[in-house]
This record gives sequence, C-alpha cells and structure tokens, in this order.
Amino acid sequence: MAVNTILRTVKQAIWLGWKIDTNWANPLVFAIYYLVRPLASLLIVGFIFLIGSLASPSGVFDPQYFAYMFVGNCFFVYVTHVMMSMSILIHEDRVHYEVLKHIYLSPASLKWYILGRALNGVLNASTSLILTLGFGLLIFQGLLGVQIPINWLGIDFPLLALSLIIGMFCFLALGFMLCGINIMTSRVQFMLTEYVSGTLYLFGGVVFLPEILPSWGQTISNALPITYFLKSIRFAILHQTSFDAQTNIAYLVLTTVGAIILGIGVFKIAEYKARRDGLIDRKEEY
Amino acid sequence: MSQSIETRDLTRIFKGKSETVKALNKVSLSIGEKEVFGLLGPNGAGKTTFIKILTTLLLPTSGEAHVDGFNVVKEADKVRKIISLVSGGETPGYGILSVRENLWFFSQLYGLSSAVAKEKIKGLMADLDFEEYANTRMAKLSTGYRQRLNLARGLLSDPKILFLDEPTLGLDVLTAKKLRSYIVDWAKKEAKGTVLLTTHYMAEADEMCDRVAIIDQGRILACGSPNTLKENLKENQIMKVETASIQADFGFIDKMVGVIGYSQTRNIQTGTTTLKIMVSDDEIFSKIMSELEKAKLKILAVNKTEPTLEDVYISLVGRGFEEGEAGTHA
Repeated sequence: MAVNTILRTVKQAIWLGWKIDTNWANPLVFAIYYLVRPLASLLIVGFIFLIGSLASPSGVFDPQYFAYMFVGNCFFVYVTHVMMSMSILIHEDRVHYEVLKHIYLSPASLKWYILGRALNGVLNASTSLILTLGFGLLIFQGLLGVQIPINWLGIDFPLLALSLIIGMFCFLALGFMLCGINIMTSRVQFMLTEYVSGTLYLFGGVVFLPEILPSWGQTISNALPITYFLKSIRFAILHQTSFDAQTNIAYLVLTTVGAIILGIGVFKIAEYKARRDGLIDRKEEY
Repeated sequence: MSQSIETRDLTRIFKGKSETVKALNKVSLSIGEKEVFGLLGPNGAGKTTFIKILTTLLLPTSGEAHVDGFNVVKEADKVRKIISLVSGGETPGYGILSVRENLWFFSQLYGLSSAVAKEKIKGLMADLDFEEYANTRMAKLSTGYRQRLNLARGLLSDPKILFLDEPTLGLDVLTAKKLRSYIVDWAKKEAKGTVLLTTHYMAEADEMCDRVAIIDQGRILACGSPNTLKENLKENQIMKVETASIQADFGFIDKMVGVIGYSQTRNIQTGTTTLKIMVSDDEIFSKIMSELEKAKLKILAVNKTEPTLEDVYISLVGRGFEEGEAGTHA
C-alpha cells in the first residue's frame, strides 16, 4: 500500500478525532473541560491523601508519597484518553455515524484509521497532562503549600522520553485489543473500557505501591506494562526509590511486546470474525 | 468482453440460534466490463448478501467470487482498491462534518492527492447539483441530498466497479431519476465502469440495466437483457384488474387452471386493489372475471398490459414482489 495513502489516512483520522471531540463546544469550553476532568480526579485523590494524613494518629504528611500519587495520577491520563478513544470509536463509527464499512473498504484499511484516531487521543492526553501537572502544582504547591519534590532541572528527560514512547506503544496495542473486542461484540464498549482502566488503576501502581497488594495482586501488577511505565516515569521525574532503570525498561519492553502481540492477535481475529459474520456494518437496535 | 465480476456456486448460510438461513444458494454469474447489471428481487432475496461478499464485507460459506480477476476472499486488499459501494438509506458520512469535509475525508482515505481531490470534489458536487450545500453539515441534509453525497463519495476514487445496493431507496421521484441517469452516464463515460445494482424497483432495473438477473430465496431464477426476459413472456397474456376492495381474498385465482401467477397491490387511500394476472390463454380471463363477479366485487377497470420485469418475476415465482401480496403458482 502507498505510504502516502497511509499518511493521509492517519492525518485525516487525527483531524476527524479532533472534530468529533470538539464539535460540541467552543475552544474555551473544550479546554476547560479537558483541564477540569483530570484535575478533578487529581484533586479528589490529593485531598483524600492530605486529609487522611492529617487525620491519622501520627498526623505525619509524607511529601514523597504525595508526589508518587501526584505523578501516577497525572500520567494515568494516557490510559483514559488513548484507550478510551480507541475503545469507543468502533461503536461510534459503526452504530452512530454508520461509516465504519466505508472506512473498512477504503484502500488505506481500518488499522491506519484507528491508529490516527488513537494518535489524536495521545495529543489530547498530552495536552491534558501538561495542564493537569501545571494546575495541580499551582493548587497543591502554590495555594496549599504542599511540598512536591519535583526538581525541574533534575528531570531525566531521555528516560522520560523513552518511557513515554514505549508506553505509547503499549497503550496503542491495548487499544487495538479493545477495538477488536468491540468489533466482535456490541453494547460493551463503555463497560469494557471502565473495567480495563479500573483494573490498570488498581493494579498498576497509580496511587499506591503495588507492594501493598496481596501476593496474587502483585502477580497481576508484575504482568502489567503500566506498572513499569509509571515506575520509569516516576524515577525520571522524582528519582524515587532504589531503582534499576535498565531492568525496569527491559520489563517495560517485554510486557509491551506481550501487549502488542495480544493487541494484534485480538484485532486480527476480530477482523476475520467480522468478515465471517458480517459484523462491520452490523446495526444495533437500542 | 472480459469479465468484471464472476461467481461460481456462491453460497452463504447464516446460522442463527433457532434457524439456519440459506441467503445465497449456488449463485453463478458473469458480469462483463462496462456492463450495468441489475440484481432484481424482493426483500430478503439475497441481493445485499451477494453485494457484501463481492465487496469483501462478508465471507461466503462456499463457492468462489472474483472481482476484476481478484479472489474476494484471498485478495480482499486488491479488490478494495478498485471498487466502491453505495447503499441506499444509509448515513453517507459524519453528521458533524460539512459536505465538503466529508468528501475530503474520504478522498484522503482513498489516497487522492490534494489537487486531484479538490478537483474531483468540486466536479462531483457540481454534477450532482449540491454545490450550494458544500458547507452545510451532513446531519442537516435531506434524504435526497444525503444520497447525492453518498454517490459522490462512491465515485471519488474513480472505481472500476461500482456496487449500488438499493441506491434510490426512499428517494423522491425526481432525485431518483437524476441519480439513475447520472449513474448510467458515468458507466458509459468510464473506460471500465462496471455497475452492479441491486434493486426491488422493476422500472429502475428496466431503465438502467443492460442485463438483469432475477433472484429469489438466494437462487438466480433468470438472467438476460430486460427485453429478452420480457420477450419470453410474449406467449402469455397479462391483464390488470382494478377492484373496489382492499379486503377481498383473491386466493381462488391461483387455483384456477391456466393461471401462471398473479400479484395484488392494495391502495388503502383509494380503497382499491389492483390485480395483475398472467395467464397462458385469453379464455381464462373470462372465467376469472365471472369468479370476481360471483364474489360481488366491483370492477373499476380492466386493461391488457405489455410484459414488464415484474411479470417476468411473477411468471417465475407465481407471485408479486411485495410481502403479503402473494399468490402462488397455479
């Protein structure tokens, strides 16, 4: 297939994703929405932590742990934005807009279109991340005087960039898996996304250390790429814990490769089943 | 003439929880280059299943299908590069995008360069008379203009083979006529423009198609040019009878010896039923008329008609197209 066609498809899918995301509001309202949603989540967790610390018998506030929670919560936005946008687009295009079959039949193929829509999710998530980090620090550090040990000059940018790149491959792969499941099923797109992101939030070490989970929970956590993704991100930004960056990156690569195999496998099976059972233009009456 | 579409014993079975449906039953067809070919049949006859298999949306259960020489199962990617599908009664794009944006989006998916895409979009909007709606959101278009947009999308990539699945479904007479004539012109103009059209509108198939195949319950019953198929009925007599009743039971007609088949069309607004009866001999009509009189039915009009494609269908199946209006073979 012509590289030009692929690039045009990816570009148009990013643009379309942006139009779909923003068509309901003017730019200012949209920007506020993109800030408020993750910021609200961060504030809820942050205030629970603050109040919990102060109300505990020791009354000791641990800034290191607050920073752990703060960074984890901010970067979890990639899971919600990228995977969610990929998960629901099949339902949107098949049932709501009824154009999935025309995209499927186009020479560029469905997978490049999905990739473009997912990249729109990456751009949105990145914008949302920057806004949430900025406003989160402003509120907690600036207004409430909570010390968050982030040394902007000490950030390990190569490690941060490498972790983000590998992490994106992982989230895109899991997104393709969700797309595949949604092609084969109906009515589960929102539930499925909630279950998957909920599982990753619980076991991926987003707001608490995986070490406090029961042994079976730790086993699940060790199999999830997001665990290693967040560890790398935290080390790059906070330099927390005794940490072997190379080993962690190796685990991140390994689990990401597993996620890619899973994502491609499920998507291929879904494409075959879609043709076998006529699912690409299936109508849903509900 | 080389073949654009070729199927051999194409079969598709849908297995449900409670029933198994044979949507296509050993369909073998050859459609040549530059041919406008019609697949004519009632709802549920297997027309859409046939098109879905040829456009690579659906796998056949058995049999083979080739589009421009490419196997639709094994070479789906190659098939998709040379075809386009336009279905009637569907949403032609994203409601949140304007007409121009929708066409631009699909032009890029079809791999058109920016300059070519702009030119094509402009030309198609002008040809199909909806330039004035270029900046209107698709969601705000009427059914007729949505279908113009849909056809324009289908023609953007200059397909070698255009699949049209009930393209004028739900359209007003004028829009349907415009789209029909545009499609026929396009097929003539294009170097290799083959059209496979499915429809249950007899007049549409008659007007547009070089050849038609009549399909019912997944089987091809007849195939040929509209004139040839109608010529085959010349030996039969066809009479149109209008009665002032919409509730009468006309089941006795198909039990009469010499009746090949009949159809009935009820018009609730006028309170009339129009019967189209095909017989092998003129004398049968007088018997039918006396039976109608015996049943105390008021006859409003009786006309002898020339055979149409609907009559071809009646002669093959023994009933008309519309559901609930069936007579059976005599």
